[in-house]
Amino acid sequence: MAGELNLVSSTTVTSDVASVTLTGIDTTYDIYKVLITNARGNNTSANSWRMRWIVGGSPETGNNYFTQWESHNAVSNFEWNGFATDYRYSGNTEMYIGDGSSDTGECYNANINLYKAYDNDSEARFDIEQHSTNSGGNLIAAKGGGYRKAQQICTGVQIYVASYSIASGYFGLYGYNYS
Amino acid sequence: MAGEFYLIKSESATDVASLDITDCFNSTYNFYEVIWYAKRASGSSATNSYMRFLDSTGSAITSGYNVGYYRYDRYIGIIYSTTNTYINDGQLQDTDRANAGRMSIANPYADDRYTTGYSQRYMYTDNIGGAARGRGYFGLNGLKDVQRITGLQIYGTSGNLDIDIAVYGFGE
Repeated sequence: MAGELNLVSSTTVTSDVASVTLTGIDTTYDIYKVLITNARGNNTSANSWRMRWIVGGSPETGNNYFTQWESHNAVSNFEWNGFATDYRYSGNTEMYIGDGSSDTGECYNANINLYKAYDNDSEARFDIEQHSTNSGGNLIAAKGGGYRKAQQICTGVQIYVASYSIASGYFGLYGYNYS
Repeated sequence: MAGEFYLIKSESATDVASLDITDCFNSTYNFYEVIWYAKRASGSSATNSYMRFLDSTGSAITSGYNVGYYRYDRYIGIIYSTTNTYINDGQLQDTDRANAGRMSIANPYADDRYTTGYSQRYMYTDNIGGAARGRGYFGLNGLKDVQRITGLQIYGTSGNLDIDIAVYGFGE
């Protein structure tokens, strides 16, 4: 329906899974949105959240993912221009989507827009607004974006937390149109 | 946008010292979008506008806010604190000046999670480094506390405001 935010697929994690895959991206909507709320890893050290495109039914693990980033916190000067050099310049095998620790009171939340995902003439890309708690227990908020330098049809996304499993959280894929 | 993007509540008032939007956060939603416009009221001498969370009794929370903003005008400033007494401040230095912005916020109603948010807001200021300039803020708002937040308050200092505010929720 024009102009409306429509739920495409979702999953609520209540026990450990290695990753969450959201599929259903096609030509129905111009822009897709991923909403993640209350997400936690299965270890208090779980912190760094990642995303890959689903291509041909499987996560795209090839190189050429790029992510650009700025983050804000309440206790020190901020970071900008990306989380790590190789996420900015050299390409990587995954997209960084922010820190989010999993100790008491902590969780990861993100609002991610996906552009030109189902378009083999364009490079699928995303923007993100994200807030959570970092590994030091400090509240953080961040904005950024990224893409994979390849023109390919992406039908979904895979989301995971580095080195650990996802223990809980809501993961939803939505779609909406320009008009 | 409608569908899974729901208007929960909106409030408007003119020439008021403050405005509360109560019970706009609930157990149905976890992720919200807030849009506001706070303007110096006609004849008012208000110099600033601010926002605060309302607790489970509807009272304003007056301490312990975590903020981390970039502030852009003639200069670039970095502002951060774990002991702020408000969020989303804005300067109103002349007639019709306003603080307008939007904020995403997660888990305000949950009483076992911290509340985190990201806001961006703009105002036109009349004396920054001796000249009139636009000013924008971008960054973190939060409360590192697991208490339940049920609403928001916008208030001014040294005079009254005209205030519009709306809160939306993302369906899950």
